[in-house]
Amino acid sequence: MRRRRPPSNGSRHPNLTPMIDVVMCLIVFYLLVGQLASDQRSDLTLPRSATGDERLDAQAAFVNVRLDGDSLVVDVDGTLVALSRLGPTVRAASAVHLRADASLPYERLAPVLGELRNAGVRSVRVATEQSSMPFGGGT
Amino acid sequence: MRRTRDPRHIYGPNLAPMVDVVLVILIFFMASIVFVGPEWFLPAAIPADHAAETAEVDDPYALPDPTLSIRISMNQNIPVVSGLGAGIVQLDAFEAHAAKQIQGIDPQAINIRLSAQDGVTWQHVVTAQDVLTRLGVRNIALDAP
Repeated sequence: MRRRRPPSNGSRHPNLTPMIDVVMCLIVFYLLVGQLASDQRSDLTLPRSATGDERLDAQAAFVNVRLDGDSLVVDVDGTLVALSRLGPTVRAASAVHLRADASLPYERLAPVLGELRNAGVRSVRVATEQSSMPFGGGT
Repeated sequence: MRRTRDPRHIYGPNLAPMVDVVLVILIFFMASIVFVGPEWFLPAAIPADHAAETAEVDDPYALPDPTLSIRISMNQNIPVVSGLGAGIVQLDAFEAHAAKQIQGIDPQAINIRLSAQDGVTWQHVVTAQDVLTRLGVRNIALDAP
């Protein structure tokens, strides 16, 4: 049986409207995902490691630590917190993901770990950037 | 020469440039998500405060802490590691040294407590942790004051 051609609206071009709809939806999706990701992941240069696992706990708190000039900046999921308020802020989280700048001196990070410990946090998941090179691509 | 319009067709706006731009934006976002992605995690414990524990548990028969303490320090701007076996080794040579020291021991039975002196960066500590994790050590703690 010969297929009848759909009634033409007069245009010989393919109908691009569905494609544009889908593409717009994808763009909105990526914008939202990118925004959510950037909320949790401050602009940090993470240390590199050749091992690790990619499991993400949805209920985890992301603690981002970096130096701004000489002052230590700590934020939890994108919200700045004073070091003394870090414990109460992360207490309800099921896990703590620690994201600290690779160049941060350890003596500046240690008080953050101390605050977490005082809040009852017994373990953290250290965020690193994947590196296939041994020793994290240089020390 | 002027083009004549075909009266049988409706000529809407040309969507091709818009589609081009939108696809480029889409590819940009997809690529940026991929670049944000390669992040993974190393588990680390935060040990309890020894001073507080000692104050609470006053047991004269308590066994010594089986945890090995590994200290990272800077020696003439070169990160060095001490505490696992005799001597001090550069961080770059730590993996071979540690593998030799823990040979014959179940790495999962080893507890390591990492500490660092002033000047040591977070990258150095993570590198040491990474080396130990590669050797199969799972119980690694980060020293906190």
